[in-house]
Order: sequence, then C-alpha cells, then structure tokens
Amino acid sequence: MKRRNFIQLSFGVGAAFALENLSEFFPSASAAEEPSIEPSELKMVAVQGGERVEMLSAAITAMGGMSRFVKPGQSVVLKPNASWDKTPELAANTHPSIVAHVIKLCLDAGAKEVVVFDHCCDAEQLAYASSGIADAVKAAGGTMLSGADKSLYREVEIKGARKLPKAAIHSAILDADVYINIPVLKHHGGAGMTACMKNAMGIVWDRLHYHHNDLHQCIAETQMVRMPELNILDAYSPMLRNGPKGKDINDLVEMKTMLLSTDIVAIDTAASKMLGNQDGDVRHIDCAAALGMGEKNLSRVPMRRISMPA
Amino acid sequence: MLAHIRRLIALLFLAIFIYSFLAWGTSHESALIARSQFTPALLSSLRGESWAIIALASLLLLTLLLGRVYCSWICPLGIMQDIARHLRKGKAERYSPNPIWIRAFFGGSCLIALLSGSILILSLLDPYSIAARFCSAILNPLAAELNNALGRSFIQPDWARYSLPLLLLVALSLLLPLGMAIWRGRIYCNSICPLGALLGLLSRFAPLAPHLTPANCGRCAHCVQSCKSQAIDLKTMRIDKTRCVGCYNCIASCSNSAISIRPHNPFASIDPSERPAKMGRKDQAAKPRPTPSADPARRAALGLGACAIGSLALPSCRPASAEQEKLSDTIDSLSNNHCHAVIPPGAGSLANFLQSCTGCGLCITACPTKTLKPSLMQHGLSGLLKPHLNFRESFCAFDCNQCGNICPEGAIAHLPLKLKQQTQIGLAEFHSERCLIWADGVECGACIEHCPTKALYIRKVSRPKLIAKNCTGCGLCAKRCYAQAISIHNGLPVIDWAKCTGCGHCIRVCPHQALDYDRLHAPILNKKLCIGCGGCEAICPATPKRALIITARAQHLQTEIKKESP
Repeated sequence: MKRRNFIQLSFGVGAAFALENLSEFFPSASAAEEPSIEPSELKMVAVQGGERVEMLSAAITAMGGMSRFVKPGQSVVLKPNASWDKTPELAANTHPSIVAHVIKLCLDAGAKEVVVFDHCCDAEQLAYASSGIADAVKAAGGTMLSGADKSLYREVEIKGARKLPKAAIHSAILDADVYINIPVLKHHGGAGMTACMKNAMGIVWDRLHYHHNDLHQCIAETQMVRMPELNILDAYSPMLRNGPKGKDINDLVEMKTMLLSTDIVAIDTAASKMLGNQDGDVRHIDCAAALGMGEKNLSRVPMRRISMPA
Repeated sequence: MLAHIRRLIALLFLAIFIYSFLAWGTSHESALIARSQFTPALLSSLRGESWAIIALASLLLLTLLLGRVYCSWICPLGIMQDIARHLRKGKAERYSPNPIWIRAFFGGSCLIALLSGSILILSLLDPYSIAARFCSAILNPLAAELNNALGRSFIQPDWARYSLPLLLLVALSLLLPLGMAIWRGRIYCNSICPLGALLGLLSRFAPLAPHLTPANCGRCAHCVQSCKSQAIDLKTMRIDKTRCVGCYNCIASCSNSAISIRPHNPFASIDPSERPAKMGRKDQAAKPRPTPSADPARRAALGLGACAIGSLALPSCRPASAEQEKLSDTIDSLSNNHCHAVIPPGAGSLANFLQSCTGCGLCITACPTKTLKPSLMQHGLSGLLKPHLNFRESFCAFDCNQCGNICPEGAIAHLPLKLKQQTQIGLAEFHSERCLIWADGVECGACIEHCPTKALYIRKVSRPKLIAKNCTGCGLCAKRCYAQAISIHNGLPVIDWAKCTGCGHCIRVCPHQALDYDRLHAPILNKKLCIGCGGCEAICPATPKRALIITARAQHLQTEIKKESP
C-alpha cells in the first residue's frame, strides 16, 4: 500500500470512527523523513497494511531481530489473549498465526523453551481450543500451560503498590527469562480498552480483587510484578464496541495494524488513540505513567512507522 | 466358549461405557453405548426419537428371542456385578425359588409412579443410571487424578461435582447391587431391578434361551452351582427363563451338553417320563414355579397393592404440572419461579424435564464449564440427582450445546447452536443497590465483559456525588430536587438512586460546592436479549449478595437478537 493510500484509508476510518488522533500517531505525509534511529534504540514500531505474519516479521526486523530480546538458551513465556471461547474471526483472542510465528522466532533465536498460557475468562479447554491457540502452539513447537490450575500460581509481594500489595502470579511469568506479551486490541466494557496492560490481568489468579479495589490502579500495579520485555499488539481488526467477549463480527474494523514496543505505557497510549479514545479515557494508562512504568507522551518515544506495500 | 465370548464383549461394552464418562468434552458418538441402554432407549422412544425406537425394538427382539442377554452382555451394572461376584470365595450357587412378588412390588412401583408422572423410583433403581452416576461422580475424578499423576496435561479432578449427601447416595446405590451380587449372584437383578422385572416378562418364552434337555442330564449339578441367577432347578428339570440372564456359564459347566441355546419349543411341557411327578397343566401355562408355601399370584397382587399405597404416599414425587406455572411470561418479565433452579437449554419445560430425566449424570460429566450440577433439593424431591445450572462459580458457555447433544434420554433435546443461543433458560435480575458501580461508584463492568449477548451494556451516567467535607447539611439540594430523590439523614443528603434522574440541578444550587458530577460507566440490562446463561451472576464481584441473579424459567422462551450494522 502506498503511503498516500494509507493516509486516505486512515482518514476514512477516522471519519467513521472518530479516530482523528490516529493521524497524530501515523503522521501525515508532509512530515519530514524520520530521523534514522538505531534498531537497538527503537522503543516502538508500528506496521500498517500487511498480513499479520508479514507485519510481525517486518516489525521484529525493524526492532533489531528477535535476538535482541531472546538469547540462546533462555526460556520464554508468551502471554497471548486466549481468554474467550470464540473463533479467530471474531478477534476476541490474539490471532493464532501471530502466536505461532512468535514461537518460531523465539526458537530460531535459540530459546530453550517457549511456554504459553492464559488465565481464561471462559472455560479453559473451550477457550484454548476455539481460539486456535492451543493447536497453533503445539504445531509451532511451544508448550501450552494451564492457567486454571491454582497450584501453578505463587503469591508475590508487589513493592510500592497501593491497591495490589500482593497477588498470586502464574509461575511461568515468574520463572521465565523472557516475558513477551501478545494481546489483541479490543474495546472493553469495563476497563474501556483491553490492550497490553489489561492483558496482564491474565497472569494473576484473583481478578475479583481488581473489581473491588480500583480496577485501573490495580491493572497499572500488575505491571510492577514484571514488565514484559516485548509487547506485540495485534490490531489487525480491532473490536470497537461490545467488547471484550466478541459478540458480533460487525463490531470489528479492519485496520491491518501491528504495534511492537518495549514500553507498555507507550504502546497502550497508541492503542487507545487507535480506538478513538481521548487522553484520560483509559485511566490505567495514566495510573501506570504516574507510577513511572513508561512514557505516555508518544513524541518522546523513539519510534518507527512502516507501511507495507500493498 | 460362549461364556468367554460373553465376557469379552461385556468387558468391551463396559469399557466403552466408562470411557464415555471420562472423555473430557465428550462427543455425540461416545454416548452411543449410553444411548443403547434400555432405559434411555425407552425414554427417548417415548419422545419419538427414531434411533431410540430402533434401539428399543432391537433390545426387545433380542430379549424375546434370546432371553435376558441384555443383563449379562450390555447392562453396565450387570457386568459390574459379575466382576464384583469374583470377590466371593467359593462361587458355588444353589437353586432358590422365584421371588416373583418382590419383583412385582418394585417393578409395579416404578410403573405406577411412571404412569402418575414421577420417574423418581425408576431413576433410583435403574441399573443404567446407577452405573452412570458412579462413573460420573467417582470414576471421572479418579481418572483425572490418574491423568495428572501420569504427568499429562492438567485436568481438574472434580470431586465436588456431587455434594456429599449425593455422593453417599451414589455410592450406596452402587454398593447395594454389588454387595447383593457377592452374596447371592444376580439377586438384585431378579428382585429389585425394575428392568429385570420387565425383561423377565418378555423372556419367559424365549426360544433361544438356555434350555435343559433332561435326557442328557447326568444330575451333576455343576450348572446349578454356576448359575448366578439361581434359576436352574434339577427337581423339575427347568431353567427359569424369567431370571436367566443369558451368561451361558451353565453351558460351559455342563460336561454332558445337556444345556444348550439350540432352538426349542418354549411352550412344550417336559415329557412326564423324564422328570419326577407334580408337573401338570399349571406349568404348561408357564406360570412361574410355585414356592412351596405360598401362592405367588397372591403375593404379586399383594406386592402391587403395597406399591400402589406407597406411590400414593409420594405425592411430592410428582413434578409441578405445567398448568400450575404461568406460561404467559414474556421474555422480559418473569412470574414467580424462584421455587426451582435453572434447567439446561433444550429441556424445554420443567414439567417435561422432570418426567424424562433419570439423573444419569452424563450431561453433568460432559458440561465443559461444570455449570451443570446434580440437584439435591433444588428442583424438589422429584428433581433428585437431576442436573441444574449452578452459577456460583461458572456459567453456561454460549457456543456450547453439549448437554443436548449427549443426553441419551431425550430429557435435554438437541438444539442447534443458533437456537440454543436464543433460548432463554432464565432471566437476570439486576439489583442496582448491590452493584459496585451503582452503589460505590467504582469501575467494574465484569458483568458486561461476560455477557455473551448484548443484554448487558454500558451507559455513561452522570449523577451527583457528595463531597462530605464541604457539606453543611443546609438541605437546599433536597428542597430543590425535581425528583424528590434527596433526603437529609444525620445532617447529610442521601440520594435515592431509583428516583434520581441525574439532571444535576442539586449540583448547581449547592452553595458550598458539596456536590459534584460523578461520571459512571454503569451496566444496563436489556431483558429481551438475556438468555440466562449466568455469566453475569458467576462473575459479579458484589458481596455478600451478587447484583445479578438468574431466576429460572419453568418454560423456556426465545429471546430477540440485536443486530448492529458494521
């Protein structure tokens, strides 16, 4: 896709869904050529206009390859969104092809093992199967772990947290050398939006605690347990309403976008703009920024934007 | 030879039967053995299911020709009894007279209860259901433990599926026949089992049942010792076909080939010269052999009378009739159905469901979210052991119609997924005074997250919020409120949310800036879209009582579907 076409598309989408801020995120053609940044210093890559796997490959290459994050012999944990008993077409879960490709990249980079899990909202066996993730993981050579087995969770103290002083966290997250977060971008009836930070709610056992004690602050404080080394956000066809369960295929809009970032606040800020939210609409971004978890001002984030040729 | 084949096939049947209760996420096909059992085939035939009529007809034909082979070859409880019988030291049996009046009592009780609309007695005595419940309640979690011990992918062993009283009931109802089998062979089948009574009536003249040829008999009594039904009487040279379960052990034990399953005339009397006296016309009519001291017919009549009285004493076994329930409910209103629990989609109506489910537990085992639980008293006595939906921890998965797929008895009809997703099995009741958002002003939305239809949705609500430190208790807000929603208690305004319209007038009139806008993302319930799946109830974090409670529907309805354009 030509840059011009892409701009036209993004304006069209923006007009339909009040995404005027997307133009800030993908700057207009008149903007000067981006200053070239060393891949190892890039904190965010945004890709537009391709198919999922090719966008992922392009983004990872731009970031300096998977070897930047995964060293030979390391163990990797992937946390996709596999929470709902819904098929990939409804985009309620991370697309299985992305999960499979990340596993492949990790193994190619020399990872010792790649484990995948989610603490599902629907029954685990149904969600794992319907999302296609269990099969994709198996085929790609990863290991699917249960998120419904309480014995796999360990209680940890979260220093400096106000609302979530301690939480039972899945041991895969605590034990792995590298933690890669692979959510899908969706509207969320309760939390406004579900992207990278909200996805991390699936590493804790007791989620009801969040709903009692300031949901957004708890979501932000969850990140203090462990920050993902890499966040990969599947925004190929984000769900713009009635989220997060995936009730209607008409709730999706095809944006063909993928974001990669080492900064969880920056990537969620960008994601929030994609859904048409105003600054402050998704409060856990502000909570996390206040906790110093990352950069909310995208102009300060070293970023590269890639438009895939059509 | 025949006995060996029987053992092999019986074990195969039992293994497949047990497997259908172990396979997590059981498929339609794996319930095939359960479907070919007598009781499910009978009950489904009553609902007009073609496969069930075929299965039932084959079982009846089999019994009419070969005798009660069902009991030895197919019946899971019968096969389990044969296995348990090996625990006895010295397996020799002896002939015992035919206890027909006991059989008549239990069989008659079942029949009378069934005709009066209660399936309770059958569900407690039916061999299929007893074996099935044992598999569901005990073998299934045991297998999960074994699976986990072998280090395969984790399966949660569900020991709590059956509550303790039900677990005891399940264990006892299995231990009774097994204990009786260790004591006296197939005595359960020939005295208590209602199927045994029915099949015994049919097998009386089976021409291919084991048959004793007196001319060949050497009176060694090996057959008598091997007969677990105690049905071989060497004095009269007769095998009681009403009790013979077709295990063919006698054929294997006979060294003179005096017993065979070669076709014979079942109505023929035995040549008087071949046997001791005393056999006359009475036997020719193939009446059961009289016991020495009493007239069996009189006893049978007595038994029937007793069970009739017994069934009168069980009025609560009869499910509430459909007329008693208000069927005029619309999808967004509910009459008072609090007296029972939610029944699975496909069950249609409570009255029908309670009359056709024996509580075998196959659906309970197959339910992937473990929302189906056996009832103790949730449906009343008539619903004992039958499934209900429990939303305390889980909810009915939207894209699943497993229970209807698998139910062998037709109590839960198979609904296509599209139809199931529009079937209203219950209705959510929203108690906003308990809701964290409405009552405490916090952010939550867990219910909206889990609602699979669009019945629960977010509405942005502005409403006044009190800043207590600024308030002087002047009462101006209460005076000016258009909706009379504010009253002053202990010097502070209290807002009745049921009346507040959120107009914000009080905020504007407050002279002390003690009221401000509170912006909520509040859940709103559209009852016309609610299917009663329980997602909202299961997840609602409000304590001690949840803000969303599902109320059961006695008669399921169709919901509307909300279509939205892209």
